[in-house]
Amino acid sequence: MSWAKSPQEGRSRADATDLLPPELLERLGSLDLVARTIVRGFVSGLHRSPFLGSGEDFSRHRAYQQGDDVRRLDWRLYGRTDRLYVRLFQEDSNLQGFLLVDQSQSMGFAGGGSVSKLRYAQFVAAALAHVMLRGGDAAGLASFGERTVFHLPPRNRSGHLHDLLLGLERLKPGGVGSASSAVSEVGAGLRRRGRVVLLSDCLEADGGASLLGAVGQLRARGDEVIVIRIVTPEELGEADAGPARYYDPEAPQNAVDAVPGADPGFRERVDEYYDGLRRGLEERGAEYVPLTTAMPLVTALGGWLMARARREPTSA
Amino acid sequence: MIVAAFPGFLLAGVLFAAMPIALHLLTRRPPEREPLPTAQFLTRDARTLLRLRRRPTDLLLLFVRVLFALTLAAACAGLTWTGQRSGAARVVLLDAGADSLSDWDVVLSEARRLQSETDTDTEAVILAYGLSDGHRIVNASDLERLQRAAQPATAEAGLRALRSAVLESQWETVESVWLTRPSWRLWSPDIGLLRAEIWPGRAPLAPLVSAGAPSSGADDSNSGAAEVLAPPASASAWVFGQATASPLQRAIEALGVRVVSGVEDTDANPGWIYAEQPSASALEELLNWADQGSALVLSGQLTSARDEIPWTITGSSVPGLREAGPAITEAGPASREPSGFVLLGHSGVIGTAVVRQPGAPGTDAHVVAVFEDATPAAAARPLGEGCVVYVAASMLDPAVTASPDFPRLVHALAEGCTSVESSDSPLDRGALLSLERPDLPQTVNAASLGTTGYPLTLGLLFLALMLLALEIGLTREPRV
Repeated sequence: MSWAKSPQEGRSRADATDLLPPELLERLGSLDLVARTIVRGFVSGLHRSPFLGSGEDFSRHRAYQQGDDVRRLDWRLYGRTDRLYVRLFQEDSNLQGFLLVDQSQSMGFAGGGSVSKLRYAQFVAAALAHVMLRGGDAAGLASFGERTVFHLPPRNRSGHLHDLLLGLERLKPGGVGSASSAVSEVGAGLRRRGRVVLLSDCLEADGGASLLGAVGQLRARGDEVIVIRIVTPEELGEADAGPARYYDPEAPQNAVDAVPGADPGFRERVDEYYDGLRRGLEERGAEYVPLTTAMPLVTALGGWLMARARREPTSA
Repeated sequence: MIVAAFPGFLLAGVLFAAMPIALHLLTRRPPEREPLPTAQFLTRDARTLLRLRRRPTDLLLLFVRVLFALTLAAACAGLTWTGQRSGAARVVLLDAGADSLSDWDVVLSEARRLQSETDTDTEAVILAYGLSDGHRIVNASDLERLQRAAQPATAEAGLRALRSAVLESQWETVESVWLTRPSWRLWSPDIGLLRAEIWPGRAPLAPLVSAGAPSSGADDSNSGAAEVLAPPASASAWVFGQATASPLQRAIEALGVRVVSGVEDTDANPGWIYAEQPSASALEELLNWADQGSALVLSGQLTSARDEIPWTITGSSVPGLREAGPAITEAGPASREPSGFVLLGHSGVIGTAVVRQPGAPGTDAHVVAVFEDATPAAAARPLGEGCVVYVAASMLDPAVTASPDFPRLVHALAEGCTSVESSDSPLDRGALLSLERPDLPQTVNAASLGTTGYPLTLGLLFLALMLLALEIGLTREPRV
């Protein structure tokens, strides 16, 4: 395992805000507000982080709201006060997580938009880092391109968010990467049970088999794996791309003369690939989040976090 | 040389050919390489390959498309390869029909002479027509072996042979000389109308001298005087009424016939009596003279009907006359335009159009003269010891009397009952002139006759199809 140089070197903290997409910056103003908005706006009524752990130390009571698990009700307090309260516990603040960002050459593809896949991944990773740290988890940063690079170890201390954001901003596309080996290496870097969030286009030369194998190994030892797939509409065949000699940026020697917009089988084959990947991940207990760079970030990310928060067992 | 039947298609073809060029210049070439991480899921598209080809391949396709447009337009334009015309030729138009049988040796020697006397810078050929197999150009040494037809050849056949031979040749300018015995069998009623259309140039007849044949009309044309048969030595003529001292009288005198002023001035029955539109009483007396042996020539519109007159008339001008025969208007058949001269039988051609009188010959009358459209112009019928001739035109019409053939016409009319023209008779001067047409240019530009040659339409269509197949092949067979 190799660690990158500190991202704070030669960087100012003010630059970190550049990593957030303009619409978030405009609406939220700061990174801290991003997480609070996600929690409050998209997980309305829960008032908790979607990454709440399962700690056992009682924290406080909170008035029952519709949707709370009735198993978390404090019946004793109800008997004394005749009011419903749920018991909240101090979440597990020692959960280690890695944000694993794909910075291979293909992630530099932007299609018809102005935001490349890597840039979009940086936005998502920045928002997730904020949410995770605010939720008490330790978040680290790793990336893979030509090789896997560990930028920051999982921590949860003051100033770590900005280190993460600066580390994210330093990522540039290049090289031919393999998500499977990176996932395995990052999983090995977790000293105890943790969480790995992979942000990648998940385009594997072997059709995703090795990636599923690596994910399966992490899941087998109890790690949580979240795969956030980021692609452009052009890659999915959703955009009307014209005739050209197309090539994979990571395998430019394999060019094909085609018209994606006039090839109905293209979209089917891409969908089939990602559907297979989704099924494989779900079979292994991993979470698969398909995003495209055309999606509004707040909507896409918030929708997923809200759904996730509803699935997570509430600490009681 | 290539000529187009429909040149408009060539212009349309140029515009059509400009389309692929414009599209080639205006259409943006797609980028040659585009990154796409999911390119592994694409299938190859042949058309895309074509558009991504290198520039020379594009230019080849553009060339094929432009050539296809031009070829298709050229095929539609009806192009014909006519070759490049050059040089001058003199065609000896040799009549090898039955009419030349008696004069054949003379004809052949004359043909050789005409060919040998031609200028060195002019190609001289002998074109024989009236052959059993049509016409062809023959060498002088092969003249004796010509297979002549049993039927006489007409002048029209000779002119058409000349036109056809010139069209098939590469000569630029052509002059012709006619070698034939110009009898009336050479003539056809429509030849006067068709002459300039078939051959728009002069066709002088070469003189043929043969002891056994009737005298040649070519001599007449050269001398400027019409051949006339000699009138009776004792003949005298009485020009009745208003025709006195008219051109009619001078024409009769030119024939050597003495003109008497009136019937009372002669002791004997005058041989010829000419009367222009006589009154009923005068006609009665004139018919009596005819009954006694005179040749009575009546002309103009008659004022009374008599069975002795060999002409029936339609219309109301002469109520008493029987109405019979086809209706003839003064202008003649509507489809005919005045040709500039009127042919009166085999013996006279009058220089300009005349006003026709309506009617038709009687059933037992002998047609003496015809108009240019072959409708009868004069008819004769014996009466007693004499003869009555009716002319369906005015004999005092300046259009008639001004003709140099007028004396000959006068003689023919007076001899209408006794002189039966034979088809072997030589053409008179007027008929000869209508064939020779000295008013037309001596040399004819062959291009003015029209175009003949090798049509290129089928070949161009085939080439266009080949180009289309090549275009399809270029677009469907990618070069990877």
